[in-house]
Amino acid sequence: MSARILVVDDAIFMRKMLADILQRGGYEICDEAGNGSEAVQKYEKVRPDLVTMDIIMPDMSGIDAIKKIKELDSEAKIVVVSAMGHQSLVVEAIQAGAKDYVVKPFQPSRVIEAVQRVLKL
Amino acid sequence: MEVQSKEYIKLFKDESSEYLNTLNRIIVELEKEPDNKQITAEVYRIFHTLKGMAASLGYTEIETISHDLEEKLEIFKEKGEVNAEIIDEVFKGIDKIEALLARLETPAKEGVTESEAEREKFPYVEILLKEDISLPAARAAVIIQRIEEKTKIEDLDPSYEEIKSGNIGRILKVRCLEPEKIINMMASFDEVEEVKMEDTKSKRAALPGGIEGIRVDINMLDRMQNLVGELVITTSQLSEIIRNFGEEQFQGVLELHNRSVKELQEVITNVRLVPLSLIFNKFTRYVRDLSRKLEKEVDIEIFGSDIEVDRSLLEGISDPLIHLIRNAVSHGLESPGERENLNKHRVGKITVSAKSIKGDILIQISDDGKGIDEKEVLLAAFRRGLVEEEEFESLSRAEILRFLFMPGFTTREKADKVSGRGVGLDVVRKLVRSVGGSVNITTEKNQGTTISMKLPLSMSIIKVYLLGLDNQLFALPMTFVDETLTVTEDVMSQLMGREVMLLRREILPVYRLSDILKHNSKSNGNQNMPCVVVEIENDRFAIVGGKFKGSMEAVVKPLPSPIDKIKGYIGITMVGNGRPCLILDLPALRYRRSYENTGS
Repeated sequence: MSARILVVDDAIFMRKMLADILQRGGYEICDEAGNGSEAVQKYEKVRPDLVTMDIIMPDMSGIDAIKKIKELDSEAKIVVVSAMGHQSLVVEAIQAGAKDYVVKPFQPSRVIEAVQRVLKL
Repeated sequence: MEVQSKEYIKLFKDESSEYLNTLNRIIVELEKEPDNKQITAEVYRIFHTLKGMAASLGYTEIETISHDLEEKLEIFKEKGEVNAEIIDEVFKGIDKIEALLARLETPAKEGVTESEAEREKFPYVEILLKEDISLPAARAAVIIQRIEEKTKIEDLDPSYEEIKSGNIGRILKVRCLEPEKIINMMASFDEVEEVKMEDTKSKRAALPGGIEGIRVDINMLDRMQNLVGELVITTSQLSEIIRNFGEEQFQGVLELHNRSVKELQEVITNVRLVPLSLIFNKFTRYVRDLSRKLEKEVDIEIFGSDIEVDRSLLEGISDPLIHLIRNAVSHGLESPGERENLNKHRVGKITVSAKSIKGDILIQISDDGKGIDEKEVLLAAFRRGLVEEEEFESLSRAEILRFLFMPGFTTREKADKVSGRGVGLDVVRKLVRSVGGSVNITTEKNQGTTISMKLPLSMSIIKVYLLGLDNQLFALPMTFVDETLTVTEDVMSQLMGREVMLLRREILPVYRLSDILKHNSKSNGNQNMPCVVVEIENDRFAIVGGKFKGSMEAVVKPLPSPIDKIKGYIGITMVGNGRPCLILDLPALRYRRSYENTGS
């Protein structure tokens, strides 16, 4: 059974792109969320194997969402997807419990590599 | 996310030592009351805590010892009574843990520098990141996270704070207990170009990580205290100037300024304070072990261990206190048999008490043992040629006991096998004096001996009386002053070629301030003269003359060269108007006097 992934990003375009890349990589997209609080709710409901998480989103930042998800499930596997230039936020996200990161704009292979690596942990 | 660092180790060490101290104290009690369930439960709890602490830092040896004892104690906890065997085991365990703690790597003295040896023992693993990776700081964070999942990180370079602010090159240095693990792990990281052990010869020092509490080099605190001292002085000078100008608008500001300076001074003084329990807690175990070795039965009672003193003072009195306790157990107290013959309880008693009196600290160590026989002291003094036979009658009790403070003085002709001859009181006196204190002894044959140490609260700020002579001010440390009064020439008289005065049926040797200071000022006739009664090491004398100019808290500064060669002063301080004021070394003065006396 392929791993189930929750894709979190406020931009529909980015969600679509990520979903396509991941599906092509053989993963199942179990759900999507457009902001942090939605991500937390959906995480609780669908319990995915992995989350890709944007950082800057309305209504609850990715970092806060990571913290909340970690509270729900300390084993949660989260990969941060962030724009260039937000280095300190990414560091903070990792401190909050994210396992790896991918920088936008990304090459599809980078995304797959990161997801593979984290799922193996 | 938690980053292991030197700070954690230090914290672990400190806290564990405290627990061990407590254990040493309460187990001695448990030994006496083996059915005390409360203590057994407490001992159990402490080992449980130690186990957890050690495990979280990966100190498996300490963890195992604590775990074993915890398990054994659990059985006794249920039984409701411990036996001698488990008590011995616990003591052995404590000693082992103590030894292991001592070996743990901690930063030198106050954590500012680390020795080359330490770096060599725990080298850093150097991780070189690939050149083209995006967000290298974030990559470093991921790497740190992975390492932390496998092993404890002791130190990072650059620190996490620096990494977070993006301040990172291509090299990340990590120090941890199992560097090999990291090296193996990093090999599978795509973003890592190279990983190797750091060349220990490299001089680059580790930068401390982002930790909330910081530890401060004691030298820094000394400097801070010194600077505050300067501030206090310049502030009082300013006050004087402003008072002379009478400018009202200055007064308000000055008052606020004064208050802040006072507060700052207080804060800095308090930062340096540590409780006496840090050394007092060690005594119970020490007395237990020593009394066993000497086949004596001893109870120790400790009071006032919550009193706080300056850190450097605590360091200074630790050795003298141990000497005194050792003396009390080995020479003061009799064997249980001897005690029973004397109708005393077979268990000897030692009391250590601390209290604060008028800003000084008084520490007393008493035993209810043999006491010191004056006649023996007198005979020993005679044997050493310190006193003539015909003088025997004329010497007072205090004068006889004073011989005990002479270097190398002992009443024992042969050294004891276990405890030697005992540490002389002169050694204790020397150590105590180096922190600005004094020692007194009272003793009663068959009743016991009490040694009192009077110490200033702090070594760099002391309370002084000010005496003026010929437009000059001199300060007398209050620690040695028993009382102050005014006298007239009427009470002065001569006794055996020495000036003395009569004070409430006590004959006190007199020291004229003008003689001490070698001033040629004349006595002001039969007017009231200040008289300061000084008590140091069972010696009482009076300093007469000059004019009382009040008292103050003096910031003691060492004498500048070349006047530091002049004997008789412990330092210099400034008074309000910015004038320097010499602080008399009262203990040294006494020796100069007796030296001069024997010379004449």
